[in-house]
Amino acid sequence: MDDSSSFYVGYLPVPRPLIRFLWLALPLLVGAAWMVALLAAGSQPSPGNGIWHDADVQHYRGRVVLWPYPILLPTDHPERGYLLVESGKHGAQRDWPALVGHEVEATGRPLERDKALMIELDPGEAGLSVVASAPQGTLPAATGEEIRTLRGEIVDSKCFLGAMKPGHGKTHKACATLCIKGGIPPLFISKTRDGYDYWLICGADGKPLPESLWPLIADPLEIKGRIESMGGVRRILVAPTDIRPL
Amino acid sequence: MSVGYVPVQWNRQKRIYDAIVVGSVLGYLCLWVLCGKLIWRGAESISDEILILRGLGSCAFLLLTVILLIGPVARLDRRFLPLLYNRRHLGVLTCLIACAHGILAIGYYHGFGVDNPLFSLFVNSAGYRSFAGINFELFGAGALVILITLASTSHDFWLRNLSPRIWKRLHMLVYVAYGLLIAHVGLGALQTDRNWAFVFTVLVSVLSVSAAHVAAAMKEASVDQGTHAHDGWIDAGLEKDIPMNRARTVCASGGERIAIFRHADGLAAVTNVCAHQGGPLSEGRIIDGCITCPWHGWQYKTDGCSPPPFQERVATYQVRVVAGRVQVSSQPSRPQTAQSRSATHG
Ligand code: HEM
Ligand code: FES
Repeated sequence: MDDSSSFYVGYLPVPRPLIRFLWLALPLLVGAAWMVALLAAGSQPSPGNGIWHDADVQHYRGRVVLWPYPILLPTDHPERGYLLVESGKHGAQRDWPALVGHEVEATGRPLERDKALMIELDPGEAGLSVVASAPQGTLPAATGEEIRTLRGEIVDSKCFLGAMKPGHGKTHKACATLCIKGGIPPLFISKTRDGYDYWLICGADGKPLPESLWPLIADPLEIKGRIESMGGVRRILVAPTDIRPL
Repeated sequence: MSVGYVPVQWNRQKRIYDAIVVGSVLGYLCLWVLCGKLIWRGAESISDEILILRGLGSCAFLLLTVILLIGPVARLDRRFLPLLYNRRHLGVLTCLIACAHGILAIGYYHGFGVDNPLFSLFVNSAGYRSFAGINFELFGAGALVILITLASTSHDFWLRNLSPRIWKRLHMLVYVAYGLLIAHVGLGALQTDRNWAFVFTVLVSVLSVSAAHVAAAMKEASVDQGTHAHDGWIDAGLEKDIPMNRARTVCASGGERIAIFRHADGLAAVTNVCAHQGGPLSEGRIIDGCITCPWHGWQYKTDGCSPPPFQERVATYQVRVVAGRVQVSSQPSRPQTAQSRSATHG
């Protein structure tokens, strides 16, 4: 191969022996790259089973509670609460004092993962409006006094429930931070044998997750707090001193 | 070679090269997306944006790995030189794919929110708390800035106007970009998901780039001869040991390599560094009486000047033969003074 007749110069005809070599080497090289595509794409882990029915506008009737994040408890299934968010990376910002406790109609696209539910509301009045202004009956009480220590991470509920797949982990940190900044309710997720278990996470006083904890979003954490449930939704109340980065 | 500049000087081989590269890249991306869609379906399907973004990222990373491998591999086995000939187009394509990945990532992960996406890139993925939590996206952004700089200065127009020395230094930044990418992937994707095939790919890529560079450097060091200068002359072995129309290298005490060619009319010594992109002239040939660089085929007459109308020059050295042994001057003749260097047999 080393004689002058096989020396390659780009603007001259390619020597024959070199053509034969390239016919062998190039398919091997390209084949190896395509193999990587198949193997690496095929080894991506499952992004979870969240679904965003983003072309399926639905109407819901029920009552809104702030717990501390807005949740719709449907009239026909008050045990199946829906978290409420807006489109994009925005939480539901509405006139809550005028809405909480009243019967409302919500219109939007549902997201679901396991038994967790969410509605991405249509913008403005079309998304959420009062249908009966007198408070209807009593709201369900929160139950549960269990204190638990959990390992996992803080994510935003919208992406994790199906808006972005996968919607957790370090690569998703920026997006989760942006979502939670924008008012999307934060979740604490913890790995189980066959997936994840998750709770809304809020301060020990029952107020939304304090801003000082945003830098910990997506980082591996151990937290200790009280678990409560209401309308099919669970939350964990955590004091900042009970959060330990791992 | 350069007399006038056109945006792209295509010829038949560059066209074939580009067609193969573009076809391979499209094939890679299609296979990635198809496989990703088949492996997780229905409720468990991966978001299209993320699937495409990962395909683009991994494709750009592999292309950069190939780009870094071509140089040393072509020195170890010159049959790979055809891959080097049009490496510039490979680099520009890598940059375009990396841009698509970066734009998609910024739009998808940083868009739709309360912050400006570019501002978000700096603040929202910022885990400055610990090394493991560090903002991996900034490493990707740094690599992208370098790739864009290199792609936009890759044309011979810039080579000429920045001077080959500065151009070469600038383009060494590609190694910095590769390092940043390893951090980008190692501190990002590899810390999130257990994708063993991808971990393996990154490891093999990094190891082969390192190994090829070490092997090529060792080969180069082993062919250097006669580093001792006596009275300003370096011994370069027996004249008959230099094959016809080819060269042997010696290393001057300053570290500069000199290529000594044997041709029909005698011997000629020039610097080993091509005036174009620093290709190793000693690995070239004499074709039509001209020293021809193995990388992109620039030519120099044995006096170091390119044949007209080209005006490139490389430094030349005096050579003589003493008792059958070649000796080369350890100092260059001034490159401007073209002088005949037919060997003086003594
Ligand atoms: C502004 C610049 C960049 C940004 C914002 C960025 C962002 C990202 C993000 C968010 C991911 C994680 C994707 C996921 O798995 O969810 C990622 C992965 C990756 N990026 Fe980048 N990136 C940038 C530049 C680059 C460049 C220049 C390259 C290569 C030339 C690159 C190569 C990769 C690779 C190989 C992966 C892993 C893909 C996989 O998981 O299979 N990135 N990047
Ligand atoms: S380096 Fe390009 S022709 Fe010599």
